[in-house]
Amino acid sequence: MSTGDEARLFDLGYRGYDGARQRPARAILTLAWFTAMRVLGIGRGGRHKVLPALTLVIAFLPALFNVAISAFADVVLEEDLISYGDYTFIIGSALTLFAALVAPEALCPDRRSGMLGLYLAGPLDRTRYLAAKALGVFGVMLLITVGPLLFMLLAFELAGLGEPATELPRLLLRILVTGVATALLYTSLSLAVSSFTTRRAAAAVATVLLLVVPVFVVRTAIENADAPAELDLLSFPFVASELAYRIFGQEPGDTEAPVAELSTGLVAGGLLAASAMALLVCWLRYRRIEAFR
Amino acid sequence: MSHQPRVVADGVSKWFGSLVAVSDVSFDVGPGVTALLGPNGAGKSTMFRMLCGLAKPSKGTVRVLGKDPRADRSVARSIGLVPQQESVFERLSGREFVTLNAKLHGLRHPARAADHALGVVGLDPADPRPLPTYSKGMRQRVKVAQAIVHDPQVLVLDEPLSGLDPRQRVDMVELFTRLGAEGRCVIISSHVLAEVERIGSRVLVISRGRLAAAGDFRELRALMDDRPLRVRVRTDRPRELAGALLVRGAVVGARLDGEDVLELDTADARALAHAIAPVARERDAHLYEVRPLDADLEGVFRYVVER
Amino acid sequence: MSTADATPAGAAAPSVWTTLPALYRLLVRTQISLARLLGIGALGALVIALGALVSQGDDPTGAAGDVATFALGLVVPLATLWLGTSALGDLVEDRLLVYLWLKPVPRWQLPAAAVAATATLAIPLTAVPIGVSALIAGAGEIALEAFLAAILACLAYAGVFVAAGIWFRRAAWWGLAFVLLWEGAAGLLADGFARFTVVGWAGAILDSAPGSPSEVSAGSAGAGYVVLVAIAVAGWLAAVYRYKRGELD
Repeated sequence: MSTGDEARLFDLGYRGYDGARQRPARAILTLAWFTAMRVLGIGRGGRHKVLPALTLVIAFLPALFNVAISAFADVVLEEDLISYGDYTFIIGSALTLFAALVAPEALCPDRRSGMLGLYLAGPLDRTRYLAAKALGVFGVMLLITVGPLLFMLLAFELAGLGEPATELPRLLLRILVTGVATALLYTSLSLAVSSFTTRRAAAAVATVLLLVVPVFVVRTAIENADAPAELDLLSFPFVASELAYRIFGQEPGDTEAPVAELSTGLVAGGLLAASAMALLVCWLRYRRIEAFR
Repeated sequence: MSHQPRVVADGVSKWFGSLVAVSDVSFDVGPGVTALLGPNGAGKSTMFRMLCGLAKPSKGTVRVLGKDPRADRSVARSIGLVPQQESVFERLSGREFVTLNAKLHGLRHPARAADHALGVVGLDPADPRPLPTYSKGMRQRVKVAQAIVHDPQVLVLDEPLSGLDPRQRVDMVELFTRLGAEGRCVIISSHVLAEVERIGSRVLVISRGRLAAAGDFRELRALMDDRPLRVRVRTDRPRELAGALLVRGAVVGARLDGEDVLELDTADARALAHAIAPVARERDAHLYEVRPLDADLEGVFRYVVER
Repeated sequence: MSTADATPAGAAAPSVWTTLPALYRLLVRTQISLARLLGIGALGALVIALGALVSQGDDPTGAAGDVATFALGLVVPLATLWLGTSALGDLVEDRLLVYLWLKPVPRWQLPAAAVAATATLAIPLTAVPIGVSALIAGAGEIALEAFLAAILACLAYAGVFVAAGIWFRRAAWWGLAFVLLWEGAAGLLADGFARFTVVGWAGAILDSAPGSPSEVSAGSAGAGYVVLVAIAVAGWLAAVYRYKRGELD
C-alpha cells in the first residue's frame, strides 16, 4: 500500500467483528420476531398477507358484531351480546384455521429449503431454535385469542357498557389467562404436527385433523361404548372453550358435553398436559432431524 | 432436417406490474449454437420462457419454426428445454423420467429412445435409483436427456453446464456443438463463458432487459472502438519494441510488466498484427508470446454489460 | 440421436391412450406416499372403528347415520383435499409443471388425470370404510347409500381441490377454509344453504336410505348424483382453464 502525506489507500477487504456479542437469548428473540413477521406476511408481498388477514377478520367478527350492536341498538340486553366466555367456542374454526396456517409456515419451509442448517450453524441450537419458533407462533396466536377480547373490552368501556372500574383488573387477568391457555394449546399441537413434515399443506391438513377428528371419535365412544368422560380431554378445542367458560364463571352452551362434567382442575391440567406433551414431541422430533440437505 | 429451424423474436417485451423484465428485444436465430448471455436478473430466463411458450410476451411476437409456441401446441414436439430449476420428480428414476417424456412426445419406442438419450449424456439406463439420490451433475444430465430424447429441432438450454465437473462439461460442450453442427437451433445460456466460447461464437447479450449486442463475438470485439485492444507480448527487448511501435502509431499505450513482458493497447489490431513482426526484426527482438488479453468472450461480455 | 424414433414435425398428436394413462400413473405415484397412505388409511380405519363402537349403542342405525354424516362432512373432504391440492399444486410449487407443459399433449389431459388419480386414491381409503362401517354397525340398510354418497363426494371434492391446487398458491389452506367454514356451515345455516355445498348433496344421497339418516340434505338423491358429477366436471374445467392460460416458471 502506498502512503503519502495526504494520500491514503484504505483496505476495504473482509474484516472480522471484534465488538460486543449479545447472548443467545437475543438470537431467540430475533428469530421469534422474524417468524412472527413472516407468518403474518409483514415485509413480504401483498399476497402473503391475504390469508393471515382473512383469518384475523374472521376471528374479530364476533367482537365487531358485539361492538356494532352496542353502538347502534337503542336497548342492549346482555343476552344479545356474545360473552367473553363464549368467544373461544365461537371462534373455534378460526382458531383451527389460524393454527393450520401459522405453525406450518413457521417450521416447514426452513427444513424444505435447508435454512435450518444455516440457523443451527450459529448460536442457535435445536432447543433454542424451537423455542424461538414456538415463541413466534405463540405471539401470533395471542393476536386472535386475546386481541378480540381486548377489543371488545375497550369498545364496551368507551361506550359505557363495560365493567365497573374495580372489576377491570380481574377481567383483564381473565382475558389474559384464557388467551394464553388457548394460544398455548393451539401453538403446541400445531407445532408438533408440523415437525413431522416439510410440506405446509400436509401439516395444515394434519393439524385440522388432530383438532377436529378426536372430538367426534371420543364423544361417540363416550355415548355408545360407555367410555369414561375423562376421554373428552382429547377434544382439544372443547377443552380450551370449557376452560374459558370456567375462567369467566359462565355456564357452557352445551352442559351435556362430557368435558362439562369434569372438574376445573382436570380441564386445566388436561390442557397443560396436552400442550406439554405436544411440545415434547416436537422437541424430540427435532433432535433427530438431519439439518442438511 | 427438412427445413432450417429458426427462432425469431420481434419487438418482444415482458413486464410484471411495474417491473420490465424484457424490453423490446428482437433477434433471428437459425441453425447452430447461439449463446444468450447476460448478468443475473438481465431477463435471460424470462426470454427463454417466452421462447418455449411458458410465458406470453406482454408485447411483440415470438415464433419458433414459424409458429407461436404458446398458441400452437404442436411446436412443443420440436422444442427441447433444459430448465434452470434443480427440482426433480421424487418418485421416478432417471429412466422412468426420460421415458415419460418420450411417451408424452408420442415416440413409437419410448423406452428405447430413453435408453439412447441417457447413453448420450453418459448415464446408465439401468440405474434404478430415484432422481433425488442423484448428484447435481447427474440430475443435470438427466435434464439434458429428457430435452433431447425426442430429437427436437430447437434446443433451449438454461444453464445446462451448472453442477457438472470439468470432464462432464467437456462432454456436454461436445454434445451441444455436435447438435448445432447437425443443423439444430441451439440456444444456450451459461455463466461459464470459457466453455460457451468453445461451443460457438454467436452471442446475444441481454443487459437490464434489453438486447445489448448480437452477432459473432469476435466481430463485436472489433466494433468496440472506444476501448483499445490489450495485447500481451513477451520479448527480450521490451523497451525497444514498445518505443518503435509507439513511433509507428501501431499502439496507443504500453506498460512494462516485469523484465520481459509488455502490455500494449492498440486501437487497430490489424495494424499491430502487421507491424509487430517487422519491428521486432528491425530491433533484433525475439517474440516469445503475442496474446490478446480481452478479445475473448468474457472481455466482450464485460464491456457490453458495463456500458 | 435416435432419429428412428423421432416424431416428424407435422405428425399427428400423440395418442390419448398413451399420454393420459402416462400422466395418470405419474400423478398417482407422486401423490402416493407412506405418510398419506398411513394418514388417510388411519382415518378410514377410524371410521370403521366408530362403526364398531356404535353397534353397541341403543340406536345403531341412527348412530351409524351420524358416523356416515361425520365421515362425509370431514373425513372425505379432508382426505381428498390432502390428495387433490397436491396433485397439481406440488408440481407448481416444485416448478416441475414445465416438463409436462412443453409437450404436444392437449391441455385437458393433465387436470383430468389429476382428478382421476385423486379419486382413485381417495375412494378406496374413504368410501369403502364408510360402507364397511355401516355394515359393522348393523345398519346394512344404509351401507350402499353411504358408500355411493362417499364415492360421489370424493369425485366432486377431487374436482374442486385439483382446481384449487392450480389456482391458489396456498391451496390446502383455502381448501381447509372451504371445508371448515363453507361446508361446515351447511349443517348450521338454513336448509337452502346446503344446496351450495358438496356435503349437502352427498347427504341427499345418504338420506335416500331407509330412515333418512343424514342430518344435512340438499334435495333429492337423483339430483345429488347429477350435481356432484357436475361439480367434479366444473372443477376439472376450472383447472383446465387455469392450466391453459397460466404462465410457468
